[in-house]
This record gives sequence, C-alpha cells and structure tokens, in this order.
Amino acid sequence: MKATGAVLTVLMVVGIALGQIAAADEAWRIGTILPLTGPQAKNGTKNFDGIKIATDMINEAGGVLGKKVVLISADASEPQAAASEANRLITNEKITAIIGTQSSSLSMAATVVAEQNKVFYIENEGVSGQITGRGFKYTFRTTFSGDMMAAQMVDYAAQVLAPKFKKTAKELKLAIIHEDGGFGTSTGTALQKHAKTLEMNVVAVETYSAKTADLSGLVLKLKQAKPDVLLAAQYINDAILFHRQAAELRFIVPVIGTTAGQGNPDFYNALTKDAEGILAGGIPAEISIERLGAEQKADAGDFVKRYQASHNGEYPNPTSFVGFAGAWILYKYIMPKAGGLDPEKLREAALSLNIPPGKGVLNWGIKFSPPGAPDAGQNVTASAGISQWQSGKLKLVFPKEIATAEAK
Amino acid sequence: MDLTLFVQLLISGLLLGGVYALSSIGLTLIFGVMKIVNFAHGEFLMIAMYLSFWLHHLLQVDPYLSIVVVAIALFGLGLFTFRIAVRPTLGAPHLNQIFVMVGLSIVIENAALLWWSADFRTVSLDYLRAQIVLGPWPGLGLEEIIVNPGRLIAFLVGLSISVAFYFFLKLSYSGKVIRATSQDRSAALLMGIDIDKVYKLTFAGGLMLVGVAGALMIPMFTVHPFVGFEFVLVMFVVVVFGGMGSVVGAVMAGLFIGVIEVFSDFLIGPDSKQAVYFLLFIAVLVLKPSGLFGIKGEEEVERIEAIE
Repeated sequence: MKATGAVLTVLMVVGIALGQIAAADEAWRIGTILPLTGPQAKNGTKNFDGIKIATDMINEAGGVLGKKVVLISADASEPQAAASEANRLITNEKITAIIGTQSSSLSMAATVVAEQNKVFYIENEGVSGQITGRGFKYTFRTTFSGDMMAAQMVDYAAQVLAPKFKKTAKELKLAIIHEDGGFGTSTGTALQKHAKTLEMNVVAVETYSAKTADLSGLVLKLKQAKPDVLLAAQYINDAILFHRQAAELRFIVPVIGTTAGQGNPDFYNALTKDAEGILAGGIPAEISIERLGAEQKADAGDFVKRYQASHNGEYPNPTSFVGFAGAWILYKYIMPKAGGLDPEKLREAALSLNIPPGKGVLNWGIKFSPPGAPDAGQNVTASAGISQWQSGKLKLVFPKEIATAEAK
Repeated sequence: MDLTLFVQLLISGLLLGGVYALSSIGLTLIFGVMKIVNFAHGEFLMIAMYLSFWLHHLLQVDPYLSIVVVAIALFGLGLFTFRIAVRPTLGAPHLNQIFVMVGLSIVIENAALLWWSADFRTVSLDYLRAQIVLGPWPGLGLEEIIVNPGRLIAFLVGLSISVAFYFFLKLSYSGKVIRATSQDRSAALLMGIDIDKVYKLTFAGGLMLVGVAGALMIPMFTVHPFVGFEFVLVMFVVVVFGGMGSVVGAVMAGLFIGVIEVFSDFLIGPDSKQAVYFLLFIAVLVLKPSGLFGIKGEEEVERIEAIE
C-alpha cells in the first residue's frame, strides 16, 4: 500500500509539474497581489473582481496575441506579506508581470521587490505619491495619484464652491484636516500645496489620530476659525465621528472628503440624511459611458454588465473600476505592443503609449511619465473625480468633462 | 478663551470621560479582585457593541432596551471564558496569564473579522439627533451650551453604576466577601470564603459591566472588529491612573482624562492629545504608582506572590 501511495504521489507531482509547463506554454501567467483577507479584505476582493472580469473579457475575445491569460493570485494583508508574496511569485512562480496592490503601504513593499528583480509592476489603486516618487523603472501606476486627487479637491472649492459664496477663489476661506497616518499626511500636504499654488486663504490646518474617540476639541477649534469650506483626508471611522460631532456642535460647512472616508457606503449608512450633499474626491463614482468613444463604450458597458451579473445587479464598486482599468491597460495596450511578458519590452511598450483621455479605459487615457520625471511611471491622463451624496447615491459631479450629475 | 467655549469644552470633556469611566469599571474590578490583567477587555466591549448593533439591526430593539439582554449575555460569556481560559491559569505565573489573555483577544478579534467582516457598522437613533441646548445665560456671560444626549445618558448611567457598585462592595455580604478576597486571598480562604466562586462572579460581573458600556456606546460610536483596540489603551490609562482595583478611582480618572483630552485637543492640537495624557500617566507611575485612589501596595502583584 505504502509503495503504491508513493508511486501515486510521484505521478501526481510529475503530472502537476507537466501540467504547469504545458499551461505556461499555452497561457500568459500574470501575478496579482491584493489583500484578500484581513481588515482591507473588502476592497481587496472588489479590486480583484475587476481584474478577474478584465481577464474573462480578454480571454473570451481570444486572449492576448492568441494566448489566454491566467492569473496567479497572492493574498497579502500586511506590507511584510506583500513583499514575501512578491518574492514568491517572482522566484517560485517565475512571474514577470504583477498587478496589485489596493493600498499604498502594501504597494510600497511589493514594488520594491519587483524593482530589485526587474519585474513589471502595475499599481492599480494605491495613491501615495511615494509609489511613483522613488524613480523606479518597472513600477507603473495606471490610476491617479493622491496629489492629482488633492488638486481636484482644491479646484472644486475654487471653481464651484467659491462662486456659491460670491467670493473669488483667493477670498474663500479653507480649512484642512487630516488623520496623521500615511494616507492623511500625504493627502493633507498635497491639499496645502495646491491651495498655496492657487493662493487660497487657508485659515486652519489640523492633524489628529484616526483612532480617537472624540473630536469635539477639533470641531470647536474649526468653528472658531470660521472657514467657508472644509477639506478632509479621513478614514471612515473618524469621518463618521467627525461629522456626528460637527452636527452636534453646529459646525456646518461644505465638506470635501475622499473616497476613503466620506465616499464609503458605510459613511452614508451611519449619517443617512446628514450625509446628503457631502463631497468626496477620489475614484469617480460612475463611468460616464455616454462620453466615451465607441470601443471604450462597449468595453465599459460589457464590464458593468458582467459585474452586475455576478453581484446581484449592483453597480460596480469604484475599487473594481480601477482593478479593471489596470488589467485592461496591460492586456489591451501594453502586452500586444511588447509582444509578450518580457519586463524590458513591457516597459518600453508602456512608455511609448500616448492615448488621450477618454480613448483609453474608463474616462482615462494612457500616458506614463518618463524615467527621470519626479513622478516616473505615473499615468498622467488618469483623473480622479469629485462625487456627491445625492438622495443616497454617490453621483459624479466634477470635473465637468466626465460628470454624470449636477452638483447640488 | 471666552467663558462659553471653556464651559463647552469642559462639558464635552466630562461627557467623553463618562464613556471612558463606564468602559473601565469592569477592567478595574477584575484587576482589583483577581490580580489578572484582562487584555481582552476591549474585545469584550466589541462583542457587546456588536450584540447591541445586531439586536437593533435585525430585531429593531432600541439599544437602551437591549442593555439588559447584552449585560446578561456578557455575564454568561464571562462565566464561560472563566471556565475555559481564566481558571486554568489562576495558579500559573503572571506571564502565562498575560499570554492567555492576549491570545484570547486575538482570537476574538479575528473571529469577529471572519463572522462580521471589516465593515463599519453604526446605529443611528433619530431621537438622539436633537441636542440638549442649555442657556443662553446673558447674566453669566454665557451663550448656548450644547449637550449630546447619548453621551449624557452614558455619563449618568456610568456614574450611577459606580455609586451603586461602591455601596454594594461596602455594605452587602457579597461585597465584603469580594473585598476580603481582593485584600488577602489566603486569609479569605482560611475564613471559609469560596474563592473560586468569588473569582467566577467577579470575572462575569466585570464583563457584565462592559456589556452595559457596549450597549450605551453603540448609538455614538462605530463598531468594527478592531474597535476594542481603540479603547483598551485609554482604559488601561484610566485604571492605572485611578488606582488599580478602585471603582471610584476609575470614574474620577475617566472624567479627568476626558477633560484633559478635550482641552489639550483644543489648546495644543488634536495630534498631541494622546501624548499629553500619556505623559501624565508616566508621571503618575513614577510619583504615585498605586494611582490616585488606589490602596498602597495593590499594584505590587509580583511581590505578594513571591512572599506567598
């Protein structure tokens, strides 16, 4: 019995190995690193859904250069895990192109490993400026950066809100608050930078810990500063606490938050009618399909249809948009031009692309910053948007070119 | 700073302190009697908040009515936890107890993540939207002062529980038994006190109090699997500050920390408020290790053990 077992095991191992070799010949193997468990699992899974749909779509259309795409998925809920999973994909699985990583801290760890091993890396969601600020040659961010998002938040205040107060942009009084982690600090700094560029009047900048149980001191401090508009880089928990205490202490001004806090559905569930009209910068809440070119329209429509079919008719989560976009850019634009998955050729192909906004994927184009630029590898045509809670739905209201609803 | 602002900050601080005090009473009780540091206290608070949330979400039970159910459930959970995790480690070195309690907290946290996911859940009560507005009193130079009813209820309940508890410990027979056990385990045993029973009821009672706290906190705070960690740090500060094992001390310290937090938030900046109360915490540890209301020697667990 034992001998038979051993023979069977050997046969199985050989079989699996042969199968893998065969699969490697037949298909493009692409790695994904995302938090599929742990506290960020919710967004990580939604991001993966987007990648999965893009893969299904390309495979059903005949694959890339006649070969199907196969995803080798890795789960990383912490930076250390992201680094070790990147190592595993590269050394054990012999992967040469990876898509990830949903959060900036995970991305920072995984992209370092990819860069050291000269492996092509698509960052599809992490927004931290540092990701593309390190002069890496193999890291390409398909989505917008935190800096681009902050610029739009300030632009919205200057272009849309200032006229409502019958003030010029320079007269408008801004207050900026942000949590003191990596996300809040980088976004807060970017907000201040753009407000300064537009010479706007910033009357208060406050930092706090997202793990706090009370923000009444902060609210009273802001109330004294009397800003017209508040810009906020918060997570969901502290955003709920802040808005509740602000309502209690009657500090009511237009708030532009981000999709990490104010744009989260849990935020609306907690505040219900108090959330109406609150704005959130970040991933556009909707794809403005009508404004796209014919081909992009068909692709985006197909994506939405497939997503709804597998999610009880729900409209796609913004995280799934960016997951889809990253994979789609790789499959449809970079890989065919590179003729495969050789990292050097992928790099050259990515850098040679110059597709204007609206002609790439979603509402974006594809044009990566060249090596040597301060944001090397950033897709400069990707744009964030400002969304607003209107009757319980997040509607895209800014910038005008892609908006699907009027700001209220 | 004008007077209105000062009073508003003071009231906000006291109300926040009420929440801190309420959630710390159970922790200080368990420590005082059993000399066990319940590192999973924050996670039990999380369970209580979830219970109250689900009762409201699925059965539309008002959180203030669910207090009774949640308190009883947490009492039961306390008996169960005592039986499987606490009792076997009672005679073991303190390091073992710490490992067990920390391990328990990790297990609970991850179980919550698995069952209830990382979503942020809240209960919104319409009748708590209306704020209580005091004043204005032009004679005193005061404008309107705003009081949050949810926090006021938590504050009042926290205060009355601690008063009731104080008299329970001072006057009732069970209270005397608990105090005797906390003062000298061996002597209590010699006097015929069933220490095992005292420990069991103390642990379950401590969890029952955190159950009450959870139900009172859900209308104001978001619950998620990691919420325990957010509160447990300040709970430990409150317990040490007030004197480990002192219920009155925990209430006083809770209120004090709340006021300190809100004022340093306003005056120094919200990013440094934790630094302020942790500095005070270190100062208390250095100058008066038994805390503001603690009995001298109460904190010296290891030495008592060594003499035994």
